[in-house]
Amino acid sequence: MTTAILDRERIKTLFDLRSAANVWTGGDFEADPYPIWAKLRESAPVHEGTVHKLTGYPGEAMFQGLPEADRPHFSAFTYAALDAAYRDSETFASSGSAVDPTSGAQLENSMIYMGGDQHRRYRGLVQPSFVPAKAQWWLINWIQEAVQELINNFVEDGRAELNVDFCAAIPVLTITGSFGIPPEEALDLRAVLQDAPEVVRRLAPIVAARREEPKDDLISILVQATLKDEDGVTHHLSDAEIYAFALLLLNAGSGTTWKQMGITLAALLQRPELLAQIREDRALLRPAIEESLRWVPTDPMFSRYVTRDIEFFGTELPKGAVLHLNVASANRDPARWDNPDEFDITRKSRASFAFGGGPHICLGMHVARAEIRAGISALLDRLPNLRLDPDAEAPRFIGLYERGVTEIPVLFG
Amino acid sequence: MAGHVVVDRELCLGSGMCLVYAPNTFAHDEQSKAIIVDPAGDSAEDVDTAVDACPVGALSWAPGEGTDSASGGTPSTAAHGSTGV
Ligand code: HEM
Ligand code: SF4
Repeated sequence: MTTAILDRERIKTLFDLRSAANVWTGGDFEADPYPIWAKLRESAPVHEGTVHKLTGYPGEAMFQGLPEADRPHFSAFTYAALDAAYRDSETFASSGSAVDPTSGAQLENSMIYMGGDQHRRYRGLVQPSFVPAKAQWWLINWIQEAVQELINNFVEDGRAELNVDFCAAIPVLTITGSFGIPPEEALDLRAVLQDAPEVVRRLAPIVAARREEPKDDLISILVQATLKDEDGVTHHLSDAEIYAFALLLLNAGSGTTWKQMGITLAALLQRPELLAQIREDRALLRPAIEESLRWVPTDPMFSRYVTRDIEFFGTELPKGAVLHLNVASANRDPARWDNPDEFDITRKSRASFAFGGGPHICLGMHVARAEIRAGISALLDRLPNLRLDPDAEAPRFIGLYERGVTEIPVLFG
Repeated sequence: MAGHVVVDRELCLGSGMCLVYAPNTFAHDEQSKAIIVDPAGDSAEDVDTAVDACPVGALSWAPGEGTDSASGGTPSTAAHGSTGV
C-alpha cells in the first residue's frame, strides 16, 4: 500500500481551488470568463491592461508576469498574436532580467525564466527524459501504481469525489516518485511548495545519495548530466541547479495536470454518451484530452517581457512592458477553429496553446498526457456505470489564472 | 507545401509536438532531435499539422521528391507515396 497514507482531508485543503492556498491566483473567480474574452478578442488582438482587470476581476490576482507594478501591461487575445509572440522569444522574453543559475537554489533561477542559448542548454539536458518515447518509463515507474492505489481507496464505496480523491494526488505522486521521495512524504512537500528553502532541505539527502549511487530515477539523471557552458567547458550540474529544476517541476507539473485531468473528466461525465463511446473505444481518449486542453486550458495565461519598442498587432508596446498572452482566448479563436466554444472531440486535431508555444513549450506535456490517459482509463476499467451523482452539486469550472473544476461527485456500480 | 518535410536540427529542441500529430513519420534520435523515420508514415495533411505545430519552426516543406501541387497550396498525398488523406 503506498497511498493509504495520503490523508483525504489534508489533500482537500491543499487542493481546493477556493482554499486560502489558491486564492492568490484568483481561485475565487466563479464567473464564465469566455464571453468576456471573446468580446475582447473581437474588438482588438491586443489591449492595454492585465487580463484580470480586463476580465473585471475586482481584486489583485497573481501569476507569472505579475504584479510588476512599475511596468506597463498589455494583453493579447488572438491566436495569430500569441503565435507571433511565442515565436519571437528575443522580443518577447520570459523574464525581465538575466538568470544566473549559480546565484542560488530558487525557482527564479530555473530554465522557465531563461532565454536563448542558456535556455537551450538547460532544456537540452532534461528533454530526453520527457520525450513521448519516455512516457512508458513514467507510467510503469510512477503513474500506474499511484492510479491503482488511489482507486483502491474508494472502489468499494460506490461513490467518490474524483477531483480531490483522485485527480489531485496523481501528479504529485508522479513527480515526487520520480525524485525518489516516498509517498508518505509527498504531501508534506506539496504543503511547503512556496517555501523553497524547505523543499531544498527535503531534497538534499536524496541528491547526496544519488551522487553516491545513482538509481533509475530523475534525480539520478540530473546528477549524472553534464552541461556545456557558454565557453564550451563541460561540467556536472551543481546541487543548486538541480534544486532549481526540481522546484520548477513541482510548481509546473503538479497543480496543472491535476486540474486538467479534472476538467477532462468533468467534460466527459457531463456528456454520458461520449463517455460511453470512450469506454468502448479507448483510442478516443487521446482526442478527448486534446480537446479538453484546447477548450479549457488550466493555465489560461502566460506572460512575456517586451525587450524593444515594437508595434504589435496595432498596438505600440514599449520596451519594458509585460505582454500577457491569453492562451484560453487564443484557443477559442474562430479564425482557427469552427464553433470554438463547443467541446467536440471529432474536430481535426491541431496544435493549441494549452502547453504554450515557442522554445518554452511545456517540457512535461507528454508526461501530463500519459497521466491523464492512464487515470481516466483506469477509472473506466474499474468503475462500472461511472456517472455524475445526480443529487450532488454538479461540477463547475472556476478560477482565473488557474482554472479547474469545483468537485466531481460520482456514483458507480 | 508540397514536397517533402525537413527538420532543421539546429532549431529542433525535441519538444515532441511533431510526434503528437504525425507519430508514424517522426521519431527522436538519442539527442532528442526529431528525425524522419517514414516519409509516408502519415497523411500529408497530418504532416502539415505537425509542421504548423512545431513551436520553433524547425519543420518545413522542401520541394522535390514527387513534388505535386494538385490542390493549389494544400499539401498533396502524392508527395508522400501511398498513404492517402
Ligand atoms: C496538463 C498539464 C500541464 C499544462 C497545461 C502545462 C502548461 C505549461 C505551459 C503553458 C508552459 C509554458 C510556460 C511559458 O511559456 O512561460 C509550461 C512549461 C513547463 N512545464 Fe508544463 N504543463 C503541464 C504539465 C506539466 C508537467 C506534468 C510537467 C513536469 C513533469 C511540466 C513541466 C514544465 C516545465 C519544466 C516547463 C518549462 C519549460 C521551459 O521553460 O522550457 N508541465 N507548461
Ligand atoms: S515539433 Fe519541432 S522542436 Fe519539437 S521535436 Fe518536432 S521538430 Fe523538434
